[in-house]
Amino acid sequence: MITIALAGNPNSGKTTLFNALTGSNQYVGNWPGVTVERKEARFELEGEEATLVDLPGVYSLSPYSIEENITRHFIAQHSPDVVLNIVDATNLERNLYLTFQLLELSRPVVVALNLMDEVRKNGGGVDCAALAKFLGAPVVPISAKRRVGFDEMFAAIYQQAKTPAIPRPVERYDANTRLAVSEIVAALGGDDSHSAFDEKEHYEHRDESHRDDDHAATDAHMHIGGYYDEGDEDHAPPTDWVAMKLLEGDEMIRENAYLTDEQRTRIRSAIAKYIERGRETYPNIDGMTLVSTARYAAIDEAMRRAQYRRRATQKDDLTERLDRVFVNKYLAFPIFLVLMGVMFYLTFGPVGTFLSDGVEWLVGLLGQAAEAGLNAIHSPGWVVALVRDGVFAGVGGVVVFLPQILLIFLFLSILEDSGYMARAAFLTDRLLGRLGLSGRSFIPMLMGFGCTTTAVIGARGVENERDRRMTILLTPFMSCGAKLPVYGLFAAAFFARYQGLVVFSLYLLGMLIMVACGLILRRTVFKTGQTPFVMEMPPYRFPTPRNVLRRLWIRAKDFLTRAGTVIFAMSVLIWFLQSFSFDFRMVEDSADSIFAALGKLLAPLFVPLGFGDWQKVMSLLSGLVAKEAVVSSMQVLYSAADSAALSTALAGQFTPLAAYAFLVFTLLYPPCVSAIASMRRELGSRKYLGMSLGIQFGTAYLAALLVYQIGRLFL
Amino acid sequence: MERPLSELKDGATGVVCEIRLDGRTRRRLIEMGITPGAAMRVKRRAPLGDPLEVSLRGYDLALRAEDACKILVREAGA
Repeated sequence: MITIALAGNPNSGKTTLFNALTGSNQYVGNWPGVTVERKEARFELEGEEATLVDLPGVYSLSPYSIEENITRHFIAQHSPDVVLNIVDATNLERNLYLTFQLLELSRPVVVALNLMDEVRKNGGGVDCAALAKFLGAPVVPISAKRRVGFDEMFAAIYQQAKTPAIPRPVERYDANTRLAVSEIVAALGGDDSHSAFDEKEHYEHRDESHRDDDHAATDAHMHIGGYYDEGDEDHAPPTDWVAMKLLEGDEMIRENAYLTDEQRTRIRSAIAKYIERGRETYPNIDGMTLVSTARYAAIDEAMRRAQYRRRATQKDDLTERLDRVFVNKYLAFPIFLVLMGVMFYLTFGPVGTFLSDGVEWLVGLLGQAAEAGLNAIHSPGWVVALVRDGVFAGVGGVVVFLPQILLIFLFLSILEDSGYMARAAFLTDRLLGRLGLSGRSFIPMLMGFGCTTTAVIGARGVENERDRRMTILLTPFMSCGAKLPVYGLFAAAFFARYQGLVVFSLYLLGMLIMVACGLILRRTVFKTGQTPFVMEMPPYRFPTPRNVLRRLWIRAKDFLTRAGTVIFAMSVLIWFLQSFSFDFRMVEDSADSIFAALGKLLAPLFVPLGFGDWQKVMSLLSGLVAKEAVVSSMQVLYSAADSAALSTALAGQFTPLAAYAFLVFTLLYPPCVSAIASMRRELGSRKYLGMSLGIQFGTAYLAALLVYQIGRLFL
Repeated sequence: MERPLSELKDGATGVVCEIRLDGRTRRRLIEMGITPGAAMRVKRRAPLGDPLEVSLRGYDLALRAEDACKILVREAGA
């Protein structure tokens, strides 16, 4: 079995290559403990079985983001047989930075030069043999999209797996860096010794009290990658790499290397001399900058030796011309709004609704058939009710989201692959910067006005985990479409003259609370881990239908299996609570159900909010299934035949102030089970899900309380 | 004369002299190729004035004005 790790920059064609190599038998999951997607696939390489592991797209191997940690951890600790590094040939200089860092990890590398056809088309070119010689790793020109050059690439990978060539990139760096690395390697105990990270040494240099700590040894290695996973093999990191990291001032390496005082002194002096010599050329420079400069100097040399030439292409021209329109001072926002409007209209408007209705109809049909079948075999009443109201209503409630999720994903994929997403983030970054987020979060949050479930899943497009989690926590405050019927009902019943204003005030309140929460979260939970907003503006490209469709398929499967099971279980549970009494008998009148008892139990809590009776609390509880259920359960509980009758009934039940407090609570409390299940899945942690639900219940309660109590002083 | 990158006009090119940033922002910008001696051209600013789009090492990059004002450059031809 040959293990191949696929590494490369974002926008380098990594996903396209992965899909092209592996076809449809991919295993998609998450890296343990985090929400970063992990894709793996088996394929046959020269008659042998091989596993391809897709590492996150990264620009470098700093210990600063989870994606980068996963990449460096996997290569350093899992020691894949070959690292397949995909490099965008049209953007060679910046892409080779990661290549050099990968080479420093001392695993056999194969460099796949993607988009070479594009470079050659315009009279450009590169001498692959010369580049390979300089890098110490084979270089193969390919086109991931057209599937050209794969045979040569496979041959190179196989060769590297069987007779590995361990690269020594440090030899390509400037004299100053080479000298400093050799001094540090000597201080660490030479090439073959990794004693600084050795388990035995590690124990010797630690306090006695830590001896029984089984995890101490793995902890050290975990921090080397900055990331821990169960299946770790304890490979000591290569000394050249450790030396480079020490020169860079990498905290994780510094703190986790177990060194003697003498070693420490020698290393410190080597670093000091390195910086001192560097400052002869660059005043005030630090170790980190010197190392980066050394890598870029080596890249310059590599490109010179390989006679890299690239002319401005038609694509560059196209990008320039499109940008003159899409990020134009005056046109940019109108175009952005129109695009978002169209997306919204198609997803949540007639097309999406038509598809959802179609799915609902289909589920209804199946449900009826099942019910008829069960009746035909004289099943007991509760079985029929369970299948009808629990299973089919529950499943139906889930799958009606599917068309909209797929539509939004279709649009998001096209926006992403075409390069427009980066422009949208460029436009809107200013608006979100103060919340500690970047423009990347804008579109998913906007989608929140349509459907929270969709928006939460759409937050996958946000590249780094911290921003993604924060986006997911804030999205539910964007009032979703399903809450509108509740607003409509109450606004018509209580605020006939100011209906529009009342509804608008709710949307505005939601956004204000989102901003307030964002500011608080930024200073508390998400104080650390903020990645600077530095975003590549990729050239515009035509989206590959195959990539877009594959992503849709993966998303659909994931939604139906994972979220589906959870939502289904929750729906059945709620159905049970609604239909049974405490002595497990099925109730005729829902007022006798466990749910109603729960409502009665909780009702006193809501007295200060102005709606402390069980019918109101119970309709809010049923709103957890779907927000529309708030209206339908009120209809049942107040025995109102139609919405006019319900309006009249409500008028006797609420004061206008209590009605507004009720709406505020509806606006802010957690969205439906489907959204909660998606949040659980996308947040990847119970802690964050709990926090998210806590924030929503908390703000809902607090805001409704303030509205009602302060309002009472004036009314 | 050294001046902040953020003060360059659209279309102007500067050579990086010094990066007065700290922590991960510093590191990220340097890794993206903003090293001393690198040439950068300001392509445009976003419609709201921030961020900036610059072109360097054969590709385009967006960065915020608050970071760009701490990158000192020597303007080419000035």
